[in-house]
Amino acid sequence: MSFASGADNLRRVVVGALLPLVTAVGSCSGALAAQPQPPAQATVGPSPVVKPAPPELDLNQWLLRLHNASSRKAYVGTFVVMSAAGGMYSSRIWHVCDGDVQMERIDALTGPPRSTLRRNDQVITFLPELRVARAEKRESLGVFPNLRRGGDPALANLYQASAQGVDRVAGFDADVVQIQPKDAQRFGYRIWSEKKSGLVVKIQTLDAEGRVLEQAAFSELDLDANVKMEKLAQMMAATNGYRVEHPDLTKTTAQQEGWALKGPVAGFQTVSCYRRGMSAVPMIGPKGPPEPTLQWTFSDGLATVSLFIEPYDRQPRAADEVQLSMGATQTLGKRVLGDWWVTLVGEVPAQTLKLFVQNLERLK
Amino acid sequence: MDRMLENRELISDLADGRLDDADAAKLLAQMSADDDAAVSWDIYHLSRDVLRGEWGMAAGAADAALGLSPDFMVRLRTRLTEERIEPMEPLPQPMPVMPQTLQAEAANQPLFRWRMVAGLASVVAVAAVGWGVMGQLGSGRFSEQLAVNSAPTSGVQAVTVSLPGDERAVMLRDPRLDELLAAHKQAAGASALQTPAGFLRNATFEGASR
Repeated sequence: MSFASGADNLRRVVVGALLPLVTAVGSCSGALAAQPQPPAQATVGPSPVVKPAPPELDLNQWLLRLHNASSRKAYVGTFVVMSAAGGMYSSRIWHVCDGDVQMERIDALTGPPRSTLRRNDQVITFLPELRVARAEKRESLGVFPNLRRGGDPALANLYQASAQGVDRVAGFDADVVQIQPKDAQRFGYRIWSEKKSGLVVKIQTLDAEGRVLEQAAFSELDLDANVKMEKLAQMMAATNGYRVEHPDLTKTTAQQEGWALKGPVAGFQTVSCYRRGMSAVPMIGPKGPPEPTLQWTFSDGLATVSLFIEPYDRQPRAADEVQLSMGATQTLGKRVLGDWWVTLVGEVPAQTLKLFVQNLERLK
Repeated sequence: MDRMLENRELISDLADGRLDDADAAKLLAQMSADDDAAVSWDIYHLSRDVLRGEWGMAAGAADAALGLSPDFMVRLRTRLTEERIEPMEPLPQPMPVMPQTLQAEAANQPLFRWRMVAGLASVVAVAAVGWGVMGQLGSGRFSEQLAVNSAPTSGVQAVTVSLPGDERAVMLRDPRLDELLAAHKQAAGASALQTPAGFLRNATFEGASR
């Protein structure tokens, strides 16, 4: 019995991953309206409920609501990420918040076993098969001064939000909001926000035609879970038997490294700039520790783009320009100014990555 | 049809001398009237000869019975003696392993599995043509095959590959690109959407490249 329903659920998830490919923007509300309404005279089963409409909020109010949700609740759930072409990954999440401290444990259920623990911006990923623990600091996690101060006015020039109705995800009623880009330089999002807490329970990344490139959702969620912060803290500190690796990062600025953009690109602003030591050994050139690669990261408030700059002749190249698309993530590798190779990675249309390359200039 | 099979068994028994006289006489009479039975007889002898290493002695009759040109079997035999049968050599390098999940997905729909296999094929192309880090896959059989694709390097100016796909197949990709992707995800906390859903997405996704 339980097996049958489990298989059934799985099938539904798979179908869900494929169906959105043909779903156009705007059809979301149509699909919701088409849901069968319970008969008014029903005497058995759940009584008919009129769901309240989603609140009328502007873009920044929506984002603030989504953002604040994570600082309110303790929850446990199963989170599934699906790419348009059928890739599917899931993980088990434990989340707890106490005052200013947020803690999270994320155990991968797909692929090699690994467990990620986060305490605010401190992140450690345990890879039991390799006996390696990777410790990182994720600079901007959970800190959005602009949002806290009532919103980033620039963001409203790039996106607009519109309520799309209500839906149910993982057993919870959710408001659906569509965040539509105002130009072709970024993707859109459709977000399911749990009605009471505001928690993001499902998110889709949409291209210009409204096709779903990728979606992520809770397949199962407990919003009243009892998650003990001390226990997560203990787990986070339990690095015995693991080799703890820290990323080889040196803070710098693009200007200091001799790079600049001729002009701002599509509302994206510099977030950080690092010299990053790479572990993949260069295939040609002098042996020894590889020269650090410059990582210059931009954000428009919602989407992120990373530029990686390294000498052209560090690896043999088959072409002067290569482009790769994986779900919402686009990559572009290109030879620039003869001597350099730039790899761009971002959750933006490939065209936007090209704009960055076109604007890149060498100062020295 | 059943009768034919039965006859063939009887013919086999006859050739091995396991039929008594009455059955043998009956079968021989039948064979003389039945082309199929005659062919069976000849084929049986041919195969027995092959098994015994005496191939060639009784083959002429089979050639004629099968309507083959007289020298066809001679030529075939010559070719076969020239053919060297060697044990399969182990590959110089392990073949890129399909992620185990492929086998473990039995509960999923066939369509889903098919898509994943299709995804793999496209990744192979990416490894060679798209990302263009040549020789990345070593000197194995795969890279030789791929080298054909990536040979005209000087002529290639821009390559666009769409890999909407199956990130499970990441194993064949350039490890350096994977490292950059991971570095990007690490930096991608700068967005209002990244907490918590974005962080969950990245943490859930990340394993694909490990």
